[in-house]
Amino acid sequence: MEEPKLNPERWLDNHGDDLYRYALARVRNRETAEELVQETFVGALRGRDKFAGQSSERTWLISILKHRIADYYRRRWREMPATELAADEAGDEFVQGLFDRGDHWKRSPRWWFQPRAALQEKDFWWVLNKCLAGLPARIADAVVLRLIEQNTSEEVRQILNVSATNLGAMLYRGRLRLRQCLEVNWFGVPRRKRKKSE
Amino acid sequence: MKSCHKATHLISESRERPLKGRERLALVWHLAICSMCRRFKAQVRFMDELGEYHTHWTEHAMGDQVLSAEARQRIARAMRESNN
Repeated sequence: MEEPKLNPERWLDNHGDDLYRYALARVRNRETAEELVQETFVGALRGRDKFAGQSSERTWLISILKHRIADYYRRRWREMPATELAADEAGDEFVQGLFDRGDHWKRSPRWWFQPRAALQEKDFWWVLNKCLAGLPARIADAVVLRLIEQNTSEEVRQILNVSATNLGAMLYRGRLRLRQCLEVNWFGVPRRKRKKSE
Repeated sequence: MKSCHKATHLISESRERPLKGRERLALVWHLAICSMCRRFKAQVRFMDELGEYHTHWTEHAMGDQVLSAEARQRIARAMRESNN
């Protein structure tokens, strides 16, 4: 069987949009996503001797892009003021609003009917994307790196340069918010009333 | 432990680190009597698994997002310059 070879002249046409979408979904900014795609292709060109043919061309390019995305987050968070991090740990009105005086749920989480079936629906992913875009910026970063990129907890702490307590606080708030958003916009809505992506 | 607020926090924490003995006991006890938090726990697990389908996600939900012509030109130029 022939080993996969690299075809740099075709990268932009064959993979450009896919890489762009991958980046855009994770950094939620068009210009940044474009830069990341550019960095990926340029870096891949320079390092093309390192391609061992163990994976497909696209998988290899995506892995380079993943590193670029992690570097992007590292840079962004290097300048994070300590006061903002402290605010994350202090508490969240949204979270507090979910529980009553006795610390019980004010409104019960609803039963989600066959959640895994939603994974097959384009509109669900569109709703998820909208929910992620609606998260406060720092929380969104943590949620994307941990839940979407599936980095381990330790990897995310290392990328963002935060403590376990801080990451824990951000993910807790992110999970509550994301859960609510998915329930309000998908699982708690009758099928025919769910928003469709345009 | 009666607090759903604390239980939901422990549920989230348990996805990040092993719970201490006392924490785990308190959570198990709470989940035994609270169906709302049991539901929350299942939903957290579902959300944690979303990343497994990320390729699917980007292709299907964002099919209309493409590199602009200007971006393509910039990237092509950068690639040419890098080749020299």
